[in-house]
Amino acid sequence: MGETIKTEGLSVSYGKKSVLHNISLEFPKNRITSIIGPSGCGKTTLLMALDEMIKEIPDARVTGNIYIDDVNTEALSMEEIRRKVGLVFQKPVPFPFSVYDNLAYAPKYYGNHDKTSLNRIVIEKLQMVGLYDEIKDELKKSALKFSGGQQQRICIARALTAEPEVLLLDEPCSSLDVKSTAIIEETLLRLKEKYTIIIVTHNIAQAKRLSDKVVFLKDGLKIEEGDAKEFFRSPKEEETGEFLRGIYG
Amino acid sequence: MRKIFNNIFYIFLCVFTLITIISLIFVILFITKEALPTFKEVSLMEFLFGRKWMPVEGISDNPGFGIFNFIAATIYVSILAMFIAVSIGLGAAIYLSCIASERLRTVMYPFIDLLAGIPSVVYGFVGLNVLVKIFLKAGVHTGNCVLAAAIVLSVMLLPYLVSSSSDTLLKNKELYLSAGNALGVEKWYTIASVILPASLKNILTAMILAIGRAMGETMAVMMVMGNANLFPHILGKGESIASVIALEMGTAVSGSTHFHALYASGLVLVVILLLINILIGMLRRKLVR
Ligand SMILES: Nc1ncnc2c1ncn2[C@@H]1O[C@H](COP(=O)(O)OP(=O)(O)OP(=O)(O)O)[C@@H](O)[C@H]1O
Ligand SMILES: [Mg+2]
Repeated sequence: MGETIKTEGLSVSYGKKSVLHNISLEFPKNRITSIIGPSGCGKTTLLMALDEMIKEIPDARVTGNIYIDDVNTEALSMEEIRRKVGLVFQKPVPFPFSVYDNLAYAPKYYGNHDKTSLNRIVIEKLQMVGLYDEIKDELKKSALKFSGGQQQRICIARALTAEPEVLLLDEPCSSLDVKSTAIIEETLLRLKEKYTIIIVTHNIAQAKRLSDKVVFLKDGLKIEEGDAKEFFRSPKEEETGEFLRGIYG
Repeated sequence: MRKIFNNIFYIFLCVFTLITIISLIFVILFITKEALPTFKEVSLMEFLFGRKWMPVEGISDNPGFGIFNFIAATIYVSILAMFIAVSIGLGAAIYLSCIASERLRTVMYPFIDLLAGIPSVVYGFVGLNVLVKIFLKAGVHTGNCVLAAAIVLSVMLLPYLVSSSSDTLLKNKELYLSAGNALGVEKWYTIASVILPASLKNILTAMILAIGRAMGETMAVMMVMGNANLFPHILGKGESIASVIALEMGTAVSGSTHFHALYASGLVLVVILLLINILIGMLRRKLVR
């Protein structure tokens, strides 16, 4: 069992403020890895470093190495990295087009203008997020007119249209109700057969339900990582235990 | 207790809204009432499409009340000004919202708002002393021309167009740019394919308000357009409806046909504005779904 993406001595700072310190992590292939930790510990920063979104922030500085399929990302173009690594935001941001155009957007940008092939991609990705049967008669409707949970699944499907290997999700359920959350969790469990998934969550129960592996960050340091069952049953570090209890109590 | 407050507040709002609507209706009714006697003298067709404007009885034997050239000049200069202002303004707005740094933005915005506050006489004055002189040197007779007026007018429209469109563009950029980035899509492509279309509705609204201002603008246009009853050509003179009214209302004998014809011209201006608003509104609804 290999890993799709890993970091080696990754450090990030914004201006003078150092946010991540020397993080080395491996994210196993076709597994869900959860990143947990107190607010401000650098979870979002870590995700943004993984798909180089961080380069859009002018004063962010990144050192260390990231490997995708054992290839150092320094050897890859920004576009290649972002295609290999999809990112889903906390708040769903579908483009203000129809569902169909949202999903056809990236393929068209990458040069696919073949109608039947586009149709196939749209249907396939919607099926992957379990949305196709639900909205198959409304593909021409504006994506903004769907519920929050549906919009988030449209966004996951849109991320998949760039054919990534890794899917990053930053608190994808934090603005959703319990039912939509459950549906997204189901979707992710299904998607891990094809993708390597990394999810940031504030919800310990969710991390328990979903993860194969857990990473605990605090103040920009990796405190603990491990197999999920093990991690939640008997955390090795004292700080981890405190964090887990703090959330419960 | 709270309920009473709510009700009182509600009633106040209703009353104020009503006052606004009633005064608007009253103004339109008044203009219409003052305009109507014109048509005892000339037919509506003659008024709208006639080119002879000899409003003062006694000077010539057969007075004429055709405002076709004024209507044409008003529309011509406004559309030309909008064309200049929108193409430059949109470029500036995209630059400010999508390329300029946060710091440059905080410097530029107050500056643009300042431009919006300059009275139109000042723009007209600068236009007269700079633009018209340039046109004169370039060989335009007297230098006064429709193009000069359009340029002055477009400069006046720019601040408003830039600040309102860059506001919406900025909002949509913050919303959609990172979504595009995350898909590996280039910045310019996201701007052109998502951010601009998403902002179109608000930009069109800004254009409606701007064209209203362009058509009604009197002082600056009057100062540089030459004010001659001619069919407008880009380097020729022209006279807008608003200018005619401003120039002649003071000398028109109250109750004369001239006086009523000026009111009728005002009414025509209002109707044109209304039509344009409806047209752009329809366009907006068609484009944005
Ligand atoms: N663009 C930025 N410029 C400067 N500092 C930043 C920037 N973004 C984040 N930070 C700082 O970096 C630290 C880590 O932020 P990050 O967003 O990664 O935390 P997080 O773990 O995702 O928090 P949360 O759980 O609240 O989302 C915080 O202290 C934050 O203030
Ligand atoms: Mg975060």
